[in-house]
Amino acid sequence: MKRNYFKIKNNQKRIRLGARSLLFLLGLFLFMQVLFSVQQGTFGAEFSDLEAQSNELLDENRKLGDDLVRSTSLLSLNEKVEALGYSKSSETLYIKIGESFAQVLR
Amino acid sequence: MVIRLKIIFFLFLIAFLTLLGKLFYWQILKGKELSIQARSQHQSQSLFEATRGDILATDGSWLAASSEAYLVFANPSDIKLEPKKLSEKLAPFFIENPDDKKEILIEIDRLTLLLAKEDLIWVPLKHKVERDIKEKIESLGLEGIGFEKEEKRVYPEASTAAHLLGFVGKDKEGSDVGYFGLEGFYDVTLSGRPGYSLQEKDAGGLPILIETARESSAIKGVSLLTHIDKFIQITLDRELQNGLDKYQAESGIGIVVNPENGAILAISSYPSYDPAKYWDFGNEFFTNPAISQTFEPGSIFKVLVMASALDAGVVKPETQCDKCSGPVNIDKYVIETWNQVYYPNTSMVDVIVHSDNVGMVYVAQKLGSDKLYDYLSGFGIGEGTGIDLQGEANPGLRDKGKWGLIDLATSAFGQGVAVTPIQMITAVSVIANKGLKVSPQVVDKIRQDAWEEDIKPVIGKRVISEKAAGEITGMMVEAAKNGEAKWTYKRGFKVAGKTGTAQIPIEGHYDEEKTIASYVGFAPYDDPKFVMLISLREPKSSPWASETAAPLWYEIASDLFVYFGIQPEN
Repeated sequence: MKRNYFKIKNNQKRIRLGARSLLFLLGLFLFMQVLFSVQQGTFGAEFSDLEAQSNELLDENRKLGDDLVRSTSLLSLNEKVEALGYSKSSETLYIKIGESFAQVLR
Repeated sequence: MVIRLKIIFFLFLIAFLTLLGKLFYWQILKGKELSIQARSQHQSQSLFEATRGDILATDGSWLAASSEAYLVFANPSDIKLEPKKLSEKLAPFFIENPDDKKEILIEIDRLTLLLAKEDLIWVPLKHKVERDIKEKIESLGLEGIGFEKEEKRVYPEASTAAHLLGFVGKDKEGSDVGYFGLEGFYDVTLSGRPGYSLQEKDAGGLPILIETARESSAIKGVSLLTHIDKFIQITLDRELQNGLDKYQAESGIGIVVNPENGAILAISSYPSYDPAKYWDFGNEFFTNPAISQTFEPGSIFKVLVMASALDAGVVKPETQCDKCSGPVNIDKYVIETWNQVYYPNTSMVDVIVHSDNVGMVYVAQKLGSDKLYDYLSGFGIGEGTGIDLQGEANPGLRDKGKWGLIDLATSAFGQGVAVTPIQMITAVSVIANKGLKVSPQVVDKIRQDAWEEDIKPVIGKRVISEKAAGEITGMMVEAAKNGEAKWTYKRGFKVAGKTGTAQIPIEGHYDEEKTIASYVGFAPYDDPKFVMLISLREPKSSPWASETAAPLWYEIASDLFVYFGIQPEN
């Protein structure tokens, strides 16, 4: 009778312990889940931020590229040259080797 | 007790059936709609347009490039201003000349009509708006107005080489498509492949990285590195335009080719158009006459016939023409020289120098129509050159064996036979290239980021022997020095050239006054750096090529001599 009583007592203890462990594991699981979700959210925000930065750099790169295309235009260069007062020579003078073509005046 | 159980059973049954019905409604009847709604709440989908490849000149600078532009749109539900007032604020930014009051009023009306559509949630107002305009509109702080990125094709050299480049327009679905020239021929290569991104997002709109994300990057279109030399192209454009004014011609064509590899260094045609504003021009401006316009070449064709006869060995440069003392009768036709001056027993060199039609009939008769057909086919007359530009025409040759005596005679001096300017210059390039045919080519390389592929020149078969090529070159040198255009010849420069004045056929006869004046030549003749063809349609200052096309040719060549470092002899 006494032995049976102890047996029941031990079983109850075990059940309580098991229930506590289960609760602890459940709590841990929930805690991890929340932690994980928060971390995912943070990563998502960071990722979104990096994407925005990348787009900003791409935009800047595009803008510089567009400026480069415009600035290499030979027609625009010709216009600038003309505006500065330079003009295309109307005649090309070919000189022979040894022929004098300039004289220093003193 | 039993009754209670039955009631509970029925209540459960009703609840079960209601649930089943509701599930059927949500999942079967409304399933698709709801799943789309749900997806739009937790998924974000973006499409990325592929950047169109650039078209580059031989020095790597841009002839055509893709630039960033914006679509200006309105969300009518968010607009606070009256449609009319908002239109008045936006209109000056959307027109070319904000001082043009009529244009502004038309634009205001157009915008007001669009903004008055209250039932719409998104209204596109203006496509391809440039960045600085977008920034100016943004600074106004107008509510309900938004911007979406899109691409705009820019041509930094404006209308230079317009026919060569083509333009980018829209297809039926509103997508960008290249038309004519390089934009049309290489449209698929230049277009690239659009990309997309599919991402799960949280309630705040931020991406959930653990969920499935599908992404395919847009692949940029391949860029074309052409043989086009900007200096030569701009020089040709400028001088051709000046030539049209000077000689009062209706239109003009100029082509410059490197005969060694067939590289097209420049192609120009006038009247031209602005590819960035193609909608302001009619369809007749878009086709490139240099590759699509057929014409009777006239005397410039004589060099091909003479080269054929020299190669076949039926004549030699010193051969004397025993039929050249007067006009020649063929069937019911009388063939005369262009100036009714005749040279009895003239040599073949002088036939070319004097551009003697009767002498050429003598040469063609010696050669025979079948052989002439074979040689002309070898030169590429009667077949497309295969140039990498959209819209090449091929007028074709009369079928072999169907040439009458008069066909043989007239084709000897470039009448009754049709060619395109590109066919003509390709054929003359054979002479400059010592008898070897090379196909004309605009694109040298295709490249994308670090990858590059060379497009090798297409070297064809030998058309005439090196000896025959040398002999006809010598005749062209004499023609340049002592022919009708000798007054414009640049002494000391090794030029081989030939004039050609062709009458224009109209309704079965030749127009007495209208001509096509052409000059084709290359320099230096012993190591040609370029072959150039200049053709003017209906010049009014003089109908003759020697007084119009030839001086224009030398005008352009003078710049090319300096550019190529070609110096005069002695």
